[in-house]
Amino acid sequence: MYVSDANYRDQIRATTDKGIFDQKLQKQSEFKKPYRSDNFQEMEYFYPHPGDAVTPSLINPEGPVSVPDVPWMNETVPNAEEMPYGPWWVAFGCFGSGCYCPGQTKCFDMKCFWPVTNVVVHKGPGTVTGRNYICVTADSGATDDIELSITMIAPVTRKDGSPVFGATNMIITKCDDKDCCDCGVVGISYTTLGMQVNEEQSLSASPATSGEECYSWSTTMGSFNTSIGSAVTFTAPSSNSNCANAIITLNCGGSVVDTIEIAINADTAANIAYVVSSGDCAYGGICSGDCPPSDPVVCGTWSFPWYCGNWKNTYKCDGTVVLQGSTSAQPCALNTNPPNTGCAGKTSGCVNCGTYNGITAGCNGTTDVRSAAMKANGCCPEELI
Amino acid sequence: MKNLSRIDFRDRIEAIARARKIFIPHITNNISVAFDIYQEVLAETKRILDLHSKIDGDRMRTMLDDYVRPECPECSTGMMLRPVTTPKGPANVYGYKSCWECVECGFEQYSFKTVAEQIKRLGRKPEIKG
Repeated sequence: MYVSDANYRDQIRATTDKGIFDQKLQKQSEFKKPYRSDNFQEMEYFYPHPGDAVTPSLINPEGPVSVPDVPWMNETVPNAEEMPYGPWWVAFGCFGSGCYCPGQTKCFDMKCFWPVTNVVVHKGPGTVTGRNYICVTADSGATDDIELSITMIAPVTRKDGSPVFGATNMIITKCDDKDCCDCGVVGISYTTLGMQVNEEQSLSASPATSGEECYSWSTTMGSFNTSIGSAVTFTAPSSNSNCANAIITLNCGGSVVDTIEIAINADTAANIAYVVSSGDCAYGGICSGDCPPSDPVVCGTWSFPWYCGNWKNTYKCDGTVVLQGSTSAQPCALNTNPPNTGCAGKTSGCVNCGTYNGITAGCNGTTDVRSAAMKANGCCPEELI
Repeated sequence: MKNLSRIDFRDRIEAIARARKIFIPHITNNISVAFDIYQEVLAETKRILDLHSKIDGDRMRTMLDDYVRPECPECSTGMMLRPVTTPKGPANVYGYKSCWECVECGFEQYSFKTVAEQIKRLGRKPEIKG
């Protein structure tokens, strides 16, 4: 016996460091030979003993097992009968917070008192794989609990040297629907990216492969008729000064899956908000690409007779057309190579497309011609997002 | 499904504006419903009722969407082109004329080429049929 102030009875009940070490086998496969197993893989299944979490209700179904008891004594504890449970009773139990999703495979960690040798479905609609990280595949439409039977091997032997196996059952219940989201690649289905103030628009998650409760919506402006569900109605805000616009976010299973920005226009005045231009250098037709080498005269001169024929559409803030027409002809920026030397290194193109209805805009693409006052008034066309 | 071009997008904007003018707020306050009715009753051209952000785009198409955009070397997202309008000087020491920008990670690649020259170097996107 060690020298101690405690009486023999207390000392015999105390847990020794060696006892703790023997109970709590760690992942030390690099430094320690396999213990009670043929391979290191099995050894790593020796999880830390939960200690006080062992309850007498999880008693070995094979009945009481006699084990070599406390190693340093090498004999049975004298007052064994007075203890509620002890080292000669081996309990088998597992902890895990798993649930299943119908038609899906869902995995979770499971901690057991001893190395797990086998996990099978004892009863219920599904299959299971794995031992300490188990994956439960439930049948489509399953609602009943799945009962797993988990077999373990205790790190002790009977006096005759035979291993001690035990089993326990674990009930796997159906997860909440929101935890069974199978989102996949989902996006937002919409009608338009430009709305008027107070206007409504139907939005939906597409394709919506999961339950309604998997989808949730949020926005920086405006509101939804409901924030949960695969299809919602968005109502634009009543104002949008300086075009903050609405950024709408779709979540699935708690994660952001898509975002769109919707321009919210509040200005219905007839002022021109933007101009869409198209055109190119023209000479009896549209010049496509570089200056045509087949025409040495043109390629050796610049401007005449090539002109920019430029077509322009002007739009209001709400996207309706105000005017359509073409600008007056402007010289093209053709090559300036000497006559009859070809077009090498030079390209055609409109650089100045003049004015249309008093508005100066680019030769191609969209030109924003809003004033600061128009923006402040909520002139926010979709085309200018 | 055929991707919407910028021409398609603009045609749609104009059609939706017409639908809005006719049906809102007299018949409905929902632009999706208004556009549905417009397409059913008045439209001269068949248009998709619902666009999909992943297929048709989550923004208005630009001229560059007709071309194959260069990928961002950092995150492989298609980059967007903008002109550098600041003339050569203290604020634009090297005289850059355009810049490719990645909207995902913010990568920037400045160039001495103009936007028009950049576009000429790009390949046109093949038309997707389906």
